[in-house]
Amino acid sequence: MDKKYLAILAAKQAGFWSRAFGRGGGGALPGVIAQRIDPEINAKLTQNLAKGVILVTGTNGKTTTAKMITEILENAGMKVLNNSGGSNLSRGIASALISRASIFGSLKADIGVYEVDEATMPELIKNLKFKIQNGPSTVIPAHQRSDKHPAEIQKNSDSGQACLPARQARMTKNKSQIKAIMVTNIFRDQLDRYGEVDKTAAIIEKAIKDAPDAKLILNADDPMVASLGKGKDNVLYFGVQDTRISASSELAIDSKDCLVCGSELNYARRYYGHIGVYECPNCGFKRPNPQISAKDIRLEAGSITAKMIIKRESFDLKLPMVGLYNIYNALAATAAASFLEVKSAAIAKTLSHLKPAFGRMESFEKNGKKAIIHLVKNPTGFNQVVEAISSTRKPKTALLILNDNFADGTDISWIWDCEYEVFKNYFSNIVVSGIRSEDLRLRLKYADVSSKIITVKKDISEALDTAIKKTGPNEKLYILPTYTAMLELRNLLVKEKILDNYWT
Amino acid sequence: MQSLTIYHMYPDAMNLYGDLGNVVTLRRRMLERGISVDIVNVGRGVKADFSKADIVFLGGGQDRGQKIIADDLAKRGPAIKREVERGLVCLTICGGFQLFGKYFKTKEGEMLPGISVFDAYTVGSDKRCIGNVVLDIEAEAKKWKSTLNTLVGFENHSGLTYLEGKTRPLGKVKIGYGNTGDRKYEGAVYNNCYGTYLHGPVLPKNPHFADHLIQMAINRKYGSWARMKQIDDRIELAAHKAAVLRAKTAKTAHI
Repeated sequence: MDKKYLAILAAKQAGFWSRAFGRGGGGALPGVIAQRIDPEINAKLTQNLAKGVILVTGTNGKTTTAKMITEILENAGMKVLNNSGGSNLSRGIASALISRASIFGSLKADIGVYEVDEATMPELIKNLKFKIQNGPSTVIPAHQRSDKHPAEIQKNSDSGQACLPARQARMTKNKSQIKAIMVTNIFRDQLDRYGEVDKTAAIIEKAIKDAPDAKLILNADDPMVASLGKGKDNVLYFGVQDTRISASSELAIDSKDCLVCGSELNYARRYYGHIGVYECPNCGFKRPNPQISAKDIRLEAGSITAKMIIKRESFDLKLPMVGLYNIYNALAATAAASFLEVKSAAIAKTLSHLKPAFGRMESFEKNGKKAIIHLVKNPTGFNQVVEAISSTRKPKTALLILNDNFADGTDISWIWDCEYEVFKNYFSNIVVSGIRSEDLRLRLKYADVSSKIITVKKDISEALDTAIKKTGPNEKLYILPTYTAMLELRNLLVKEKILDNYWT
Repeated sequence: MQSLTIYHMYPDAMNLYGDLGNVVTLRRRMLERGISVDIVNVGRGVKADFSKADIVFLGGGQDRGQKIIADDLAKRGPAIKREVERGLVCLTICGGFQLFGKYFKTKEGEMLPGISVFDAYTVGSDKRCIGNVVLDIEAEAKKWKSTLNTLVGFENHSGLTYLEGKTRPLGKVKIGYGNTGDRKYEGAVYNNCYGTYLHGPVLPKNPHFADHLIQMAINRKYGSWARMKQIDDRIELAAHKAAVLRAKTAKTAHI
């Protein structure tokens, strides 16, 4: 019997008991167990997705973009499997697969949209390769049992070197389940895990070599990302075409140099961070022309409007979100949907009715006070959120929570690349919390934020209560947690039945 | 009114781990004491007279950033060395620290020339030293007249730095990997020039280190050995203490 049945059964049981004892939804646990029993579980189950998978990676916007794609495809009648609300490591994907699999391994889905941590890309892509198993009647020559490119194997069998039985030939043909790989952007994030920003790009570049048939969907405006498509023709680029938008901040520019030759890039326009329209004066590497683009962008208080252009078609978009970065998320999702031949009217309709993803601009009310959660995990994301906050002039209270667990990034020095300096203009009260609350407190001092408006409450539960109390009747509470702080906060709110548990 | 000039070297190419926070800290602590501050950004190809500098700051960068600035820095090497012999105060972090040594030989075998302020050399390795660091700086702290005997920060480097001759380490490693990854010594001191792998950034949470740099610069420029006045450091010291405690419990990340 295939090990996968045992793996599915054991993992499903673990998920059940974990839920029964109130430990969230079991999260990564079923995946961990399934992979221990059958290390090929991801490949075997993914193989059952008739339309294959799309991988979404990059520093910022993965979760929101994956959610957008999922909703567009679902509204277009597809059954989508994704790992939202869970971990974006290999085991999280295994958990998501298990939760949608029958005990016989069939899936109630026909396409996968996997959000993948950048450092997990090499492992996952290798992971998803279907290894041809020795059938009872045929022995496959060693050179064909390897991880070879399907085309190469095909070539070999065409030339008559080996004759695969029909069933196995089919598997070989289906081997490349990865239909598209999307990279949203590459920013400075969790350098304690990746080492350096350049390494992140190198990790992804190396990983995509193992999926040569996949369409690359790349951000043309991010030189780090666009350089991944250099010399390849199977690429779909997305980008912003708007001459009126330019970056207000000089901070958080992670990379101004050409990844191809190392010279400093010239920017005709910079939208934010190192995202913009650029050209290398030395080697000629320049921003590719995007096939999917947005123009006439208007950033309003609670929404963004833009004209979205897909090759020769276009549609008007009204996105119920704030911040230019969400236009990029919408562009990326539009690119993926158009690659899967979803009609533009259907894309427009879904994007106009979006609800925020897990911990990304989730709103709630507690004791009659309005609050919103913005996950913040790196300087660029932070500065974008600040831009969004500063679009309304109403008085506000802030709850800032800084943790330094592994999933947050153990190095918290990025807070010194964030513009806390602007906080004194927007907040009447600030509560700081989390494992590294003392560091945040210090950062605010050096940002010249008056100590009169700052309260330190290391414990997140206490901090939330204090922040709610300090929020005035007409104010809004802005909560800016790091990843594990966001999970802890959501758990509190789920217990109080203020927010839904994402895993149920 | 006393005034000091900080030369911030290559702020674009060499600012990876919030290093700007070090300059922000020096500036604020001077202003609080009524010392006026002039910050000069010295980029590639920008003319700079190091005899006019009171403090030179060079942050960390990626390998790529280091390669970009190495040649430019090498041209300035003799001028910087001459001033260091005359007591110029310098703080160099991570990649900047490496280039203040004799050379950095990367893992791929490429040689990046340093300016030999420190009698030290760096060799790239396969191991990446990442995590919280606590240093015992008792020997230095006596000279600084500081009651705080620790430095706290975060390291992230694969180059290993070996000290020789007259260059001595900044501190003993209590928690972390240190210069050579063997948990022994960290950083470098030569005259009034300091190098360390600690970022975080290093100065905000280590106010005694920041004050020592300012005090040396004041002494050098004005010849006054009067102690600078103490300022309210409760928030800085709370962060220092919390970070030391956290270093004991935090798990180290591995790549």
